[in-house]
Amino acid sequence: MVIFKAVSKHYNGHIAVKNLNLNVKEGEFVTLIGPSGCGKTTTLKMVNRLVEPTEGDILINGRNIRDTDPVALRRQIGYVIQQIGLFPHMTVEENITVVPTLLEWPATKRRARGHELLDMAGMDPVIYANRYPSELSGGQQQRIGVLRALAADPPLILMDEPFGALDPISREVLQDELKSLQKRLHKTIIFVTHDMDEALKLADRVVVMREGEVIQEATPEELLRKPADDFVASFVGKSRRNDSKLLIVEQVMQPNPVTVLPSVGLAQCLTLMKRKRVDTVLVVDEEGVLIGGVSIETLDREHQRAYRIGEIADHNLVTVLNSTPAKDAFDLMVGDQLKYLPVVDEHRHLRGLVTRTSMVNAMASVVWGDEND
Amino acid sequence: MPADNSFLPWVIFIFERYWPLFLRGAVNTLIISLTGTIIGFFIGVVIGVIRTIPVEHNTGVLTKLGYKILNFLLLCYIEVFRGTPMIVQAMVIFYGAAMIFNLHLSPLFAGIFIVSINTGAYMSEIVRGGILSVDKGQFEAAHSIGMTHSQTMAHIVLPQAIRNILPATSNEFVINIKDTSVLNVISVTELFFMSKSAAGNNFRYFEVFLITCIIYFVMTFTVTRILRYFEVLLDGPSVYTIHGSQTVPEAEIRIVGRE
Repeated sequence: MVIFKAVSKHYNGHIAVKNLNLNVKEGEFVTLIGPSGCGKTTTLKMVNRLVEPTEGDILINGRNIRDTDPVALRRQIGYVIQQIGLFPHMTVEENITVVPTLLEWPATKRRARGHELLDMAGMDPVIYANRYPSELSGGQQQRIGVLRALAADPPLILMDEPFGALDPISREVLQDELKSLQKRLHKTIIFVTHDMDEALKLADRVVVMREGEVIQEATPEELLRKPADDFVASFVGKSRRNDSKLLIVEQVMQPNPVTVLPSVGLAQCLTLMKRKRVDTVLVVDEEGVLIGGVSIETLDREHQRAYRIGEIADHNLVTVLNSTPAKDAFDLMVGDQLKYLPVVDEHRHLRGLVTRTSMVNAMASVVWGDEND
Repeated sequence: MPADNSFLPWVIFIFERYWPLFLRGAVNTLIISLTGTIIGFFIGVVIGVIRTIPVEHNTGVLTKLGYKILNFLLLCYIEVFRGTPMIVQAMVIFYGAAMIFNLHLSPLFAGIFIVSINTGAYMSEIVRGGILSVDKGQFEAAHSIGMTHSQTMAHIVLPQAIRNILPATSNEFVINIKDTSVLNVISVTELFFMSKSAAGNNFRYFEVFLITCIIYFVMTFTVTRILRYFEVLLDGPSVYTIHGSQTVPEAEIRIVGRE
């Protein structure tokens, strides 16, 4: 959809963008991210010719934008700017339909489009259409900014840090809305931000830039797993890299679960469980090889019939290897509604136990950072 | 002549005798200053807009040169008319037109002409300031959605700039009401000219000009109030409600007062 071919931009000797090659596919959500002055906004503005590249070509749908009149080009591309940029002397409806007005749509069609968009954003046209921007909250104003970009139904939308000036709650809400809107309307979006959380949340592909150059171009997942260099790694952030996906079971399990030998009697086992305050014990042999598990329910049901734990142990336990990614273990637990998951090595020696509590602890350390780290 | 030769009877006598004169003078003053301010305002808008046209690096050399020359001429006009007293401008234009072009202007027309171009010079800079005062984001927003420079000016920037320069414009109007008094040097029959003849006839300068003073004040004060009323009208209601916030969609935040 949008192809950058060896694009550079120089400002009196200063290089803002250096030999940029990028291919944005149709329906893709691409975020450009980097520290201030890395050339991300310049890159964005070259797409609708607010800035002219010094070298190289930009193609939209195979057509070189140099051959398109800038004004006509901009009317086909939605644009949401850094500040809210609504026109204060125009009503909400006039603001939304400003591009259809430029394109000389008939008044009735314009009006219908304005109301349709307001409805889509969950803002009642009866209440909001005739208000002025100053009568809206910040989040609502930026929502109108997004609607204005959508008004003429352009396939491509450029966004320059649109949510930067909003409070965190409004920002989250608008990000969610934007993401679902993009999925639904199948728009191609190029989105500039300096907020990594925002980039990772919204993007299909993240382009990390520094000093006018692309450092890495990857899906959020790849970026987290394999940052190209230390700069990207520090930009992605340390806490985020300790993602649960990268942890293995060994790191999150509880290392010393309550175990019994198969020869132990039922009453003895019950006393042990009471003392240790657990509802399940694992049965291991003298070499520490896992044989099975016994829950308090089984004990209760079978205490008339059996004498030794070995007789009633459940031998068909679902187990995981200690080198399994923690996330897979958690998926297994959640998916199969398991209360616990014994961890074993290649020789079926018991290594530990993953419970729902270990899952919570692991997630907490990802979210708030590990204190021992 | 009043029966009693003291102050107050003289004031009353002069007022009773000369009120048609005062009235005619006041009306002429208002006509000249109002017309002059309006024409000057339009001159200012045109020049202000021309002087803020952005010169892009990819503009043609000839266009650039033409624009530079035009800009220089406009600057000359502004500097000359701001830098010389209106009373002198009046003399130069009125007598100069008669001598050089053999053009005998009517004093009223000459008065309006002089006030207009004088105000125009001031207004050009006021409008330019007003345009520059509009947030840069507004230009960016307008350009990025595909407005040409002239559309941006007409629909986005000027409406906001004009609101911003309204107080300065009222100021110009008030100054013009007072400064038309200098036009008496080219015998425009405005309020000061009328007062002078009334005073000269009776040798009663203080009494006459006290009345004149009051009339000037009433005119300027009324005009200021009327213009202030329009400003408030343009600002819309000062009490309004923000409908909903992100956290509480049903919230109604009532804003009272603007300042």
